[in-house]
Amino acid sequence: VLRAASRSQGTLRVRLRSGMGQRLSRIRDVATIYALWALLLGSLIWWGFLALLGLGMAVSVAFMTPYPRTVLTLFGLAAVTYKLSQRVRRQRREARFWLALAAVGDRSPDAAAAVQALLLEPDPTADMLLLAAAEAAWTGRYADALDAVERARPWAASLGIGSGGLKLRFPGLPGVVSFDEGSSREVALDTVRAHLLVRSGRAAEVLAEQPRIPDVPLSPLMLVVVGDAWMFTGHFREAARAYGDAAAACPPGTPEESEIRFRLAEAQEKTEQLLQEAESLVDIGDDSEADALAEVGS
Amino acid sequence: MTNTYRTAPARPEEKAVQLSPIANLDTLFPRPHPLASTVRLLGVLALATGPLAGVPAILLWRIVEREAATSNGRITGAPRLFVRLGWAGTVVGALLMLVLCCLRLLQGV
Repeated sequence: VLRAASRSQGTLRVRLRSGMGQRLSRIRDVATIYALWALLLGSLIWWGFLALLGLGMAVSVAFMTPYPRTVLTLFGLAAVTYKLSQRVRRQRREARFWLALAAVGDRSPDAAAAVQALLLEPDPTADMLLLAAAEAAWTGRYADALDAVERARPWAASLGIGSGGLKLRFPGLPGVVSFDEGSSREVALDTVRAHLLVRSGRAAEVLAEQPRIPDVPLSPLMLVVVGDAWMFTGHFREAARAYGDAAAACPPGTPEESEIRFRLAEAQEKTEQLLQEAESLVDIGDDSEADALAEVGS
Repeated sequence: MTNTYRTAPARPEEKAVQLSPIANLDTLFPRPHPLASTVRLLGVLALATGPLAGVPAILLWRIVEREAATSNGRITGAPRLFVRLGWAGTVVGALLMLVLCCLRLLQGV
């Protein structure tokens, strides 16, 4: 390097002897400084400029050595190896996701281990977290499922993009939650989250969150979740109303509709039971207890 | 309040237990292993670069095949042609290098 540097300095000195060479070298110096400055400023906007700067410097250094071709070949090989290793790492990660998805889909005994491996990734994608939530929910680990959904929430808009559209089923949810282009992924994730909250015994939180969006019509699945939350908190009349709305919004004759109608009937039956109990209490003469029951039931 | 309970069908709880958590599983699979494209690329490159691309192609193909075998047919492997290209490139490249080294040695002598 030192030999090459002294050689280039010698060449420069020869050129600098003539006035033309001096002017050219000054223009070149100014151009170099401006180019460096532009690249540094550009790197603030796009890091690729910094990479270009680094590449330019590496090539310059390579030409200062006695074996520029060898050095450039080594640089090239290193760059190609780096890009290839990045590509392989990305594709292996993708493969792990697809294998875990297949295992969860087939309800294979290896599914839990595959999903656990996904969660150990340095930065799991939103789809990986969603898959983990589905797997945890199907094995009854609602708190883990909820945790995964909470982690996926910041990237709700990108859910299902990497996998070309995910359609998931959750235990106790009558219907499929779609994370594809035709549906609102945020709404779908909110539905899943609310469902998991109800299943984790935190139905009151779901009901507390509902008045925040009174003007937005709820999806049939969300109405079912709200109905479930009312049922869990013992408000059967409100539950029946929510189930009724959900059944009305559901396409008739589908399995989802029949499941919702079953829940509606359950809520109505509970309401009727409470009213009958209230009536019997009124007959006995215990008005305070009857009022309380009637309030819940009617 | 009308009671729709009597018209509602029985709850399909038992059936639901058998359902897959992924509703569109059959549309998502079968699909090729993500590494298959890299195996293809390296297999072709091996013809020009020899073992440099050939060895990674062979190693990655083994990974692809192993993972495809564990996926119950959900993930398909890489075409065998490209790993054969990888092998061909590796063998020919290694032989060429050997011949060149021998020639250099002979010239030196």
